[in-house]
Amino acid sequence: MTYHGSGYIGRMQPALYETYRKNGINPEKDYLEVAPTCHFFMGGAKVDENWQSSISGLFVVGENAAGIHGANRLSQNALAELLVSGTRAGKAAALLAAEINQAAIEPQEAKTAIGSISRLFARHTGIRPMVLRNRLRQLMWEKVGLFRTESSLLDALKGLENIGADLDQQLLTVKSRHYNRELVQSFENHFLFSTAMCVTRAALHRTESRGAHYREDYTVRDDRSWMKHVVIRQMDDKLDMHTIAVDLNEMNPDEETL
Amino acid sequence: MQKGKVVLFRYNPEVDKQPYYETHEYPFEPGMSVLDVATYVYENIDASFSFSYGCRNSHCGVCGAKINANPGLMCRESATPEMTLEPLDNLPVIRDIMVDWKYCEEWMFSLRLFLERTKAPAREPENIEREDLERFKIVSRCVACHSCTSVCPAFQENRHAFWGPAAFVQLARHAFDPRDELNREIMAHSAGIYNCTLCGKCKEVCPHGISPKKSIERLLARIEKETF
Repeated sequence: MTYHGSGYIGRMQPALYETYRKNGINPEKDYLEVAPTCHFFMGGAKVDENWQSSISGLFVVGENAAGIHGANRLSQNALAELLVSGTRAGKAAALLAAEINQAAIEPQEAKTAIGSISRLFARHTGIRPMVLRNRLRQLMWEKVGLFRTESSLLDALKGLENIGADLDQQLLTVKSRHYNRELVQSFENHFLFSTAMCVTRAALHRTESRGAHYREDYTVRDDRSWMKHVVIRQMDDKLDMHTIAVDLNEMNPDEETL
Repeated sequence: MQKGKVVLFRYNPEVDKQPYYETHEYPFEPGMSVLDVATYVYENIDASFSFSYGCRNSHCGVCGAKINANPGLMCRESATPEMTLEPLDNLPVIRDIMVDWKYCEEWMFSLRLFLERTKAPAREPENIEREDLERFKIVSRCVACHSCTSVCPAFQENRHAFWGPAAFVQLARHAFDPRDELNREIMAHSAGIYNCTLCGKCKEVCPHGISPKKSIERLLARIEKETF
């Protein structure tokens, strides 16, 4: 802990300070309630050195890409990440755009998308998107949150199966196609479900504790077995999971550092 | 739990000929934000109520609305037991309290809002002098929520003749950065800097404590120095 004189919080965190003040809290005198929250995603899409994903022309930068900082997320890491990724991806994307034409939209895929939206609007019974969202949130917080065990993660997978089955039962109470928040939320639920599935599967697979991933049944960091990235890929009907070694060539860490 | 009452501005151009207001009750708790109230209405009363938000932490700037007649960010303002929620003024309404930013951000591309430079820095890493940083530190907090645009009389009069206070804050952020080489004074001219009435309404409403008026005055001073 470091002591800072009066006025320091207001100077360093003006927006936060103002929010406190508006709620009648004086952060220099009053007690502050502190709670953990999901603040950053260390995992993400797998990219190459130009931050391009396995889909040609799709660049993924910053927090959306699998963290170059591994399981670590210190304050300001994200800043370095976004500056480097933005610069490299921007240059590579500009070069690529000069070379290729815009890819055509696959008519069949467009038809599939239109069909699924029409079916969504046509349904008269089902589960409201926000109900499903809250279920997903609660499940992930309780079972895949701060402290993980094999049994909590298996529970999560079971819960996710149920949620996955309900994804196609979403009911829109608002039938308008003009800025319909419910419609957006129902799409997002599909994406959040896939993300939650990947997080849970990877957490179950990694039988060690590292950075923000803490397993109560494997509390120690195990570099001998786990200097690896877990890669998950959506195959036709299932998730394929494998590991790849961490590239340590640039770092040359010695035994002690590891 | 205290009962709260919120008056909402409603308008869906698909079906409504005119906007109207409706009143809803919600469970008021001290410490609740205005965004919490909007979310409560969406989740429990009427899912067709449209509003936008992103970060819930004052940084993304998309949850701007008129709260009890004052523009502000919904995530940032505390709820009151009785409140009115309306769209920002001076901007076309898309639906309910969602407004169309495109209307006031046509300048985004023409102002070239990035550091334009041809000369490489003398040495790397490049150090920015404290004094230089202070010149653009405050304006760099602008999140383009357009609270200022919504109260600006010059913008209301003619948005083509005056591009709105936020445009000049963004311009100042780059003009006062020593790394930038563009002639931002000419841009300030195009954006109608001389049509600003210097009324100062913009500085009263900025959620991040920026004074667009001050940015405009400093840009004006710089134009005069260059010209005479």
